[in-house]
Amino acid sequence: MPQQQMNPRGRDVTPILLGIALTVFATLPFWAGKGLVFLAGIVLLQMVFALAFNLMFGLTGLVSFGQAAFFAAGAYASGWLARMLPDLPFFLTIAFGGAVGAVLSAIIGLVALRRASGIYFAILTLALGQLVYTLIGKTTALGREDGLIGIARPVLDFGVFEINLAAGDNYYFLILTASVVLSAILWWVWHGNLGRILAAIRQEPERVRFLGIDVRRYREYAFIISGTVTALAGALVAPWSQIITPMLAHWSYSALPILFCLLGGRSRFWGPAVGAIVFAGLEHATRTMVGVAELVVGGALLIVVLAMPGGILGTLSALGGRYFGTKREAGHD
Amino acid sequence: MTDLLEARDICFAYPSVRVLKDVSMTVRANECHVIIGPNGAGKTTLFKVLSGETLPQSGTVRYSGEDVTRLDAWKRVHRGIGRTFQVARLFSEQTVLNNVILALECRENIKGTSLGRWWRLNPARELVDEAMSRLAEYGLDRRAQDSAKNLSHGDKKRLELLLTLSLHPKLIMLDEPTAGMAPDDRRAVVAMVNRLREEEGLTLLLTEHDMEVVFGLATRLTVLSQGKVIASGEPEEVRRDPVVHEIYFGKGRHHA
Ligand SMILES: Nc1ncnc2c1ncn2[C@@H]1O[C@H](COP(=O)(O)OP(=O)(O)O)[C@@H](O)[C@H]1O
Ligand SMILES: [Mg+2]
Repeated sequence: MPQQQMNPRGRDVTPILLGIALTVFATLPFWAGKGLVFLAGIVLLQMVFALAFNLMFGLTGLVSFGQAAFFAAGAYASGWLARMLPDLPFFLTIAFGGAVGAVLSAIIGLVALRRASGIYFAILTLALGQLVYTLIGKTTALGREDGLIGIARPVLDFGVFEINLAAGDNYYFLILTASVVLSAILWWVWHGNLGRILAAIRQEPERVRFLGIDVRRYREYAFIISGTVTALAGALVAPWSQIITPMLAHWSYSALPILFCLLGGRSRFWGPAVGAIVFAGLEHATRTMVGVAELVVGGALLIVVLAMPGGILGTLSALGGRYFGTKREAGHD
Repeated sequence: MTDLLEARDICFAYPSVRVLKDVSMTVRANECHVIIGPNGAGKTTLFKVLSGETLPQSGTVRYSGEDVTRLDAWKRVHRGIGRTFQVARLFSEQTVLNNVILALECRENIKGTSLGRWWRLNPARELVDEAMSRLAEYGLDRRAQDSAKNLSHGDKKRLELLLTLSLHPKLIMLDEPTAGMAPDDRRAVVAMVNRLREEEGLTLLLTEHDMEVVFGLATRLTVLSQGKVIASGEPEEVRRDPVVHEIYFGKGRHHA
């Protein structure tokens, strides 16, 4: 019983929404057009991007304003390696993207976490992220401003059988599977012992320090996990969009997960995923209304931020809780 | 008795104000050492320096013979120093029970046992049970499921002390443990502190304003005024000290 109380999942609407979302994403290629499937693949990876970002923002309480640098690092590292060594197994090129993200986030974390007080951390990560953006744009091996194009979707060789990722919707299903796995890892971190300590650090860092925890090291852990998963999402995007440009590392791309978190609700694990889907839905629905699109998206964001402090998921859960008659406390889950 | 904690010639200044001026003091094993002094004397600042929250500009802090002046606060905790804050710091969004469980998980994490591993999804059954029995011991079990932010002032202080004690410290530093408490609660704190010292062999360093509390538990007193130690010794001895009387008691017994 007390174990449930640690993670009061109660009877809220999240599992229902999750079931619906998974069903839609898993069946999408069978009833939707090519354009929508492509968009869905991007949204899935942006969801992972935002969930990873929220490990810092919503859980640990630090706004990293250079998160796109890790996304770009993963995309470029795996894209570059795939071109250098076309015969390398696909999973190794993806893993390389993740490894580069891990190293990069470890280095940036060491610098930026020296000043973990709010605005300094945001500014330091922003500056270091822009540095990565500039470096990519000036590196010939990475295609300078033009980026890398024509990144192949290879054939997965499992010995007894193989899957051609270039055929049909195979790569889409790979993205879906990878997104589920990466989200599951992040979910575990968020809800487990590490997540509890990170949430405690967000609330009262001095208390945690005087419980014998090296707060900076734990922030660094969170930053590296966040950066690595973000880089893996970036690595998976390269063969999907088949073109990667330095814009992936631009600060405006770092603002995206912040928007998703605010829209969906940052104090719940799945909040940013809701935000990513709603954001993409709004953009898609208004794509033909030239000039109005930004207004609609901006207006929606304004309404959510002003009227729903817990984001869409927070508000839905509160409503759902009332409907089912269970009180739900806004916890660190 | 041996010296457990020793501060020597500690100087500390904020950019605009010198707070501690050559403060020296020792805390012996198993004593209850109380620091008194008017508001702004520098008591909390001295706590910060001793516990590692901030570093002094000069002077040394030794704990169990080891120079810990520049040691990170969390490492001092590993060596057995625990502390509370003048305004209790709790995980206010969490339940009372979860506060204690978290402290126990930190303890297991420090010890490196499997109970504190990062991949543990739910806290171990043993820790949940231990947390409940600890809460019962401190009369907080009925509040176990309440949010920590809804506790009374006194209960918050009590819970923070419980969190600190969860790590089994040798020395605990309590910054004004009875501030804002009703007289009954104050007496309960006195009884508890005395029990910790006499039965569990803890060493205590406190700051306190209430004279009834001070003389109810102090085995030694240090008087701090304007960042300087003006007297130190047995409680009765200090009480009779004419300088202390002038500066501290002279303003009346109701000083707070
Ligand atoms: N963060 C701070 N910045 C600047 N001055 C401070 C700060 N904290 C405390 N002080 C000053 O240091 C002096 C000592 O404060 P403190 O140690 O809290 O005293 P006490 O605990 O004995 O009441 C006071 O004059 C106070 O104004
Ligand atoms: Mg004080």
